Amino acid sequence: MESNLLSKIMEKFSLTILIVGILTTLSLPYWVGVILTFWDGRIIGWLYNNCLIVLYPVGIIAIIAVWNTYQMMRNVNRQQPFIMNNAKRIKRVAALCVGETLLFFLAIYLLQSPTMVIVALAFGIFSCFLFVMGKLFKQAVIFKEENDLTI
Amino acid sequence: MPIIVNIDIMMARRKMSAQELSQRIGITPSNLSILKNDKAKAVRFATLEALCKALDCQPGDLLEFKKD
Repeated sequence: MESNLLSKIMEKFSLTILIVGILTTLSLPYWVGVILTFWDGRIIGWLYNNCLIVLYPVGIIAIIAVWNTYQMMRNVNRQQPFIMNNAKRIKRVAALCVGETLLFFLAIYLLQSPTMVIVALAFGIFSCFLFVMGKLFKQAVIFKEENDLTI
Repeated sequence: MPIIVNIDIMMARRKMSAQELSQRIGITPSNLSILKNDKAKAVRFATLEALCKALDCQPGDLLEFKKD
């Protein structure tokens, strides 16, 4: 009962993150301007443009990843956690995290910020973890299907 | 799958309905349907034994190997 409540909360949470993510990505030019003004007191042209070049693809990839997470939580709440669709979605999110890693490595040069290495490495480690989880999940689905079809 | 399950042939020979057979061997009609339609991935010895008892036949009468 408690885990059911938790997964329902997670579904709503991922939906909220998805909506916030879409709105933030759409209003990136405004927010980048606000943040750059906050840090430097003015908008530096090249930095503003490079921020948008990095953050637009990062935002779009993140939206797709959160959309996949939301769909997985919906499947869990429909009492269908161990299905091949979920295994594929985990693998897809892992691949998207690899994309984020590459973009943040690109951001090191475009934004001239070495701290981006930390973000890139975090995404890299997370994608490795997700690839392993995806493989495990796929195996679990195969075992479940075999068990269900053993009469 | 090259293994064919011939339950329906034996059921026809014994003039037994799917409902009756599923009740006799203690499995659900949907599981019997999975078995009949060759969708099962494995059959337990206990199920095979119950099927042979209910249909009064040998495992070889129920299962057949066909090359692809």
